[in-house]
Amino acid sequence: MLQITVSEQDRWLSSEELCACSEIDSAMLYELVEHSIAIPIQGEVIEQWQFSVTSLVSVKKAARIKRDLLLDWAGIALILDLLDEREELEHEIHNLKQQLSRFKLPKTEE
Amino acid sequence: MNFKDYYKVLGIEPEADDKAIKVAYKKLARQYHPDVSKHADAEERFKEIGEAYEVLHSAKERAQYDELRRHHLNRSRNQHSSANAQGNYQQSDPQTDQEFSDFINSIFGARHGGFEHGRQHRGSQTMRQKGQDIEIEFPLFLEETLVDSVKPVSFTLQQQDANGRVSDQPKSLKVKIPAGVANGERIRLKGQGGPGTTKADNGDLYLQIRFAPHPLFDVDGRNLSIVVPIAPWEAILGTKVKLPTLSGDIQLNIPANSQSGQRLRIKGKGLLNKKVQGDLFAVLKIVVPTSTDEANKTLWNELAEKSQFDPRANWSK
Repeated sequence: MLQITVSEQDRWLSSEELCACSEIDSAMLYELVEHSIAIPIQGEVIEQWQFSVTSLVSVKKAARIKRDLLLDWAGIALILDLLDEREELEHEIHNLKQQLSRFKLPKTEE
Repeated sequence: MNFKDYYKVLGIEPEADDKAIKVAYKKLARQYHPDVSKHADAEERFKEIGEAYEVLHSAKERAQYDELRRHHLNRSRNQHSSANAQGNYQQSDPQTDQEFSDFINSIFGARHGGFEHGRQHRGSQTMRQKGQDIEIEFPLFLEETLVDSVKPVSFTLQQQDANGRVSDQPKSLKVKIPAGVANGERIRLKGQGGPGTTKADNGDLYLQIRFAPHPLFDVDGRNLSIVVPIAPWEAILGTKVKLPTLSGDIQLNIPANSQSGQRLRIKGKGLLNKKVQGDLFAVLKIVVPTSTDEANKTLWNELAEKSQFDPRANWSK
């Protein structure tokens, strides 16, 4: 069976790769960065920008929402922020419930 | 494919103007878009809504569809009246369904048979097409995140033969994941997705790291917590307990007069993330015996008589 070692490059993408994978052009990438939909992890200029793979997922999602919901980038950025917030809250609720369950008494027969 | 009433799908009248169609689409799309909706059938509903909008917002395709719909309604009416006479009413009409299928295929292409989320397929496929991207969840035990670990991963790829027939092909790999990955992090394995057509690049495989729930530890970012049950006398007098961590047991000092819910920090025994190791928090939980024998009861009684402690001193009187 083929074995693949995950390297640092598998966790980051260049601007060029991000554009190719999400089928957008560099002009659109500038707009996405301007609205903090894609956030470069490092690099000062577009040629040096590096993005996390999670940014790629956000960019793809943003492109789908733009196409399907006919919204502008500011609206999409707001939606993505709220979706992230919802996910974080769900995660927090899940964690708190789990911690709470560790403090609950085991069920006893009456 | 059964005939679909796109006006009903969008909740509008057949006489609706372009603006009303757009407004109805936008409202429903916001409600059912799979990227934002929590509805169980969001994907299916959105596909239907997208398909309806795609057809109705184009004057030419709407006119064709309206013609089909008129035929469908006429046939249904005729069928209904004859069925009523025979007491055997059938809703579906094979002729209209076939005409509808042909119409949909002429718009979206036969291979896909409709509108797909995030992509509108029209006409023939391009000759050179990148392979399918695959995204799968990759479960890891917390212990496995501290060291480089090799794990198998299996998934199914859709492959198309020379005649355009699509079949499922299982694929298996072993992946060496570096220490210090985060829960929810995505890793891209370039070229490990579906094969591209006519010398186009293969798709990519995306692994999303998911930490498996642990029987003892809870995760909060790079920190961990563990609930430590202690007896009331251990809480008062202090004690030493053998505490499990991800990298083996350690000795934990519980100070005297500890409270239930108190958190004790053990530095550097959490998860590894971006080359920094988080902390482990021991959360104390005072537990009492479920039954008490006479000798113990005597001791508790003695304590109750002598102790000045009022646990409800903060309550207003």
